[in-house]
Amino acid sequence: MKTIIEVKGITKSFTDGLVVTQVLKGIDFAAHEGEFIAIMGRSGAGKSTLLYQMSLLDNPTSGSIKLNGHPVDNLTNSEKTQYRLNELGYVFQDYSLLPELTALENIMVPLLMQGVNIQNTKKRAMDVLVGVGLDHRSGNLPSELSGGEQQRVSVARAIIHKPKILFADEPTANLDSFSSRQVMDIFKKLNKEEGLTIIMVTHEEEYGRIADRIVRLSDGQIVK
Amino acid sequence: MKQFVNTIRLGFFLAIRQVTRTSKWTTGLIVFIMMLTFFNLVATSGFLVGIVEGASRGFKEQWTGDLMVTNRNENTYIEHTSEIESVLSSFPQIESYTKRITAGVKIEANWWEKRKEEDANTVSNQIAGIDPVTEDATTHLSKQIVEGEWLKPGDARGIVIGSAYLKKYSRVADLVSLLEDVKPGTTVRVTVSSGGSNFNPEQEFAEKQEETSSKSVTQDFIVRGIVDSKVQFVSSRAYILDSELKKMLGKSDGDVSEISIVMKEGIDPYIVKTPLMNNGFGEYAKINTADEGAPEFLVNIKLFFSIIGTILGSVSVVVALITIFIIIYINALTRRRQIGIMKGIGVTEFAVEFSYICQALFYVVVGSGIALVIIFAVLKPYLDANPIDTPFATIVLVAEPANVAFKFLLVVIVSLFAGYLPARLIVKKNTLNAILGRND
Repeated sequence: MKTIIEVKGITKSFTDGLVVTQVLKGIDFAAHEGEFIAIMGRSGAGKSTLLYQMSLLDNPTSGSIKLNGHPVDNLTNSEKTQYRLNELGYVFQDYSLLPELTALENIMVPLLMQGVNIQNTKKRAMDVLVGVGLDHRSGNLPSELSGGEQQRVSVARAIIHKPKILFADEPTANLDSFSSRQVMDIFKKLNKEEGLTIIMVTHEEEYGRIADRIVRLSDGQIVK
Repeated sequence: MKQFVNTIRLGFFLAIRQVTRTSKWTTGLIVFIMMLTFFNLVATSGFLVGIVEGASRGFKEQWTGDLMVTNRNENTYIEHTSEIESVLSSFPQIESYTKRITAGVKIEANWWEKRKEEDANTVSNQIAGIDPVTEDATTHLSKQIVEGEWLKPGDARGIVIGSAYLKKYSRVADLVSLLEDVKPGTTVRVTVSSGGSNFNPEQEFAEKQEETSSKSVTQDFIVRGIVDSKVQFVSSRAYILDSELKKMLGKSDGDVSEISIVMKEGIDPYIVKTPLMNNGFGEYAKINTADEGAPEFLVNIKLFFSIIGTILGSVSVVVALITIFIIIYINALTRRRQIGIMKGIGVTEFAVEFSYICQALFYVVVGSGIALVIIFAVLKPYLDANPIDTPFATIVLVAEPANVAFKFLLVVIVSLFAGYLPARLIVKKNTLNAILGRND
């Protein structure tokens, strides 16, 4: 299987005055196309930091990253933005929907940015909403949706542009168990039926076990 | 190019939703502030210029007309008046014109009660001999009558006196000798100097007295009315029939001291001035448009108010700039996390910035639009019909469409920068820090 993410020796340090904190201490990691990987570990282990480096939301202090075979270390900010738009999808812990946009409009944003015409954008957004079981809530603002519904809209937004990799940072952390299972079912379906590569950070063993592989981090290093 | 179009399209999409789905009270308040800012920009300088414009209009409407022909300084009268008049008659663009003969005058009332010279109830200034019909058609002075009535054709014994002659109306009553107990029906004794008068608006009262000292002719008149105008030159004259003044002056030719000409609506007075000058009449008379002939103090005040208006206007533009900047900055700052999320999912920085530029434009265009409606549909028509009455001028609101359009354009351009800069400050921050709510 093709390697879609290749991380070699990345470190990440934060400096606060004279204090330097090293969060990632030389991580080597690879993910193959169509894999569903759960990154787990205790709080402060560096799970989310690793996700941010791989998903081009942050720059590692050292080391290299290849996505889909291409080195991404030297991309400019605008090239990274373009890459995120076309190749990556994100699901954040707290849903991160735009409050002035309806569920449908939130999902439309990536396609509009890609230049898809408005009719096609609406149609595809509606199809994705149907897929996550929220077509009846398309006209609702995020404030009118439950946490579980918001997270499903967030998932819909993350996949509408058919990304190669979906990054999810603690997607069930703020959800009740029923909503969490709904989100995880969607992830499983996307992975199994559409072959979407998913990298998910979670601290919940139950949902980690759904993944094909669990990568455990401790103190900035992969331990298993 | 396609990327740019996508960026603009998404920026517009986001802006519309942010404006329409944010609190209506907040949007209303911001629009209201922008309305006040633009109103201040237009109305403050508009009223300042309006003070002078009101005075200028008074001069034009009640004295000079659109074009005024007066005697040269070295002559008492306009030479070749009849030839000038025949040229004027050939212009169908002229609405009306009026001729005036002017002379220095002393007017005395209650002279029969006088015991010694110091008790004399007299005033010295200027008298104008007019045709009451053409004068009223040209300057509408009958509308300025505050007591009694305007002169009638053939009323050889009638006189209309300017309010500046009367203690009752004057604001400088304690400084100069003015008439008391004069009202319509009062008989006054008029003494003119037969040498005529070369009227100079800046002449002092005392100088006028010297003019009436020799070759004087005296005649009694009955006061028909009192004319009171903001235009000091109008209120500082007495008016009798031109035929009567000519008799008193012993004048037999047709030459006059002033010709005021009013053009038909929208006609440039240069249509008449240029041929008059080309025919050499400039050698016999001073031919000036209303603007050219405006008194020097008025020109100076106009310049001063124009400078003040420009300064205040500039301050208003800066205030508008700061207001929009603060509004957009706070707006973007409170949405910093959402901006980070948008960047995170692949929305370009300029799409986000453009959405804020659109918002700034919306606030400015709507606010300024409301201000324009208030100014042009309500305030200006109202003030044109009901000018603000002050002791020195009738104030109107001057808001020339071209000038207002320039200010509108200026505010729009300012709003582009004031919308872009604060958005840029927020958008350029680190994406991940924005998403996580961390400081850079």
